[in-house]
Amino acid sequence: MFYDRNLDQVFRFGDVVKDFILCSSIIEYPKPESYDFKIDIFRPSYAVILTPCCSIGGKTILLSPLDEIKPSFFDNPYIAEDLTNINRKMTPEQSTPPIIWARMSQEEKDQRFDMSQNKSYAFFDSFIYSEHDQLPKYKLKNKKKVEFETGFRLIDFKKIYKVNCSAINNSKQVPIESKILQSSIETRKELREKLAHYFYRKPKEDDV
Amino acid sequence: MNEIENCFEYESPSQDITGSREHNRKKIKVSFGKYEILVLLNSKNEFVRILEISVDKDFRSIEQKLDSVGYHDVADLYE
Repeated sequence: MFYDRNLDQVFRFGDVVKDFILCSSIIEYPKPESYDFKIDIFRPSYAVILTPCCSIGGKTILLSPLDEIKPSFFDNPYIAEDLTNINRKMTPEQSTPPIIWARMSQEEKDQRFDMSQNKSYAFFDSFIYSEHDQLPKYKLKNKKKVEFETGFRLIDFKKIYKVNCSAINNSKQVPIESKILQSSIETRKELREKLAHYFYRKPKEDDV
Repeated sequence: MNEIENCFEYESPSQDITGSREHNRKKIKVSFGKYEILVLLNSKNEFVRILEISVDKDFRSIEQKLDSVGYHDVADLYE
């Protein structure tokens, strides 16, 4: 079960919320004493809370917009069967569209895949949110330009925003009417582990 | 100690059969809630016996899980 049936009257890590406005600064290059910048402001239809449950409060919250998925995910039968498979570790073959896997050389496989484990994450910066009646379906086109509908969405760990909101004092004193879905305990566990893995990766030069 | 170990032993198809019968049986893994059941089927896909029941759960702590920080670099295959 991806979502809890009942919504607790608190904000939790992994909750889907609406009506928050997100903002980022845009600069061409960091220069001393330069204030040449732009500000990008947008209102995503939905966003996911990424502040850990115990840290929600202090009039701030971390959010990641809930985006549409890539239609090419459906090129891989293992992923198409259940898009939330992306949230869990998988074998190299499961992570690859079968046509590409069939023609891939062993040398390329050795370079691309983590062979040290039976299973590893693919799409290490993404987490899929399952379909739900509260999340309207939208249309995608596959490579053959055939249109199809899906309700799956994803968050990208590279897009995490901090919002200052004076209504968020602690996890209970929050604008609860903006909460529309609550992730199950199992989903929160998977999100927490994948997010931790994303930040825990270390470059090869740090190996001592 | 040997008695306890023997309780968990089962005969694999290759141990208790000979000749062509070895190729007529197969094992399948069936998920049942949080359990995974390894089932032996005969050539007609009929149930023979349960070989193994295991819990489909990773018991490692998050620290142990984070020891494996590799990943499959496949994002560009979906561009």
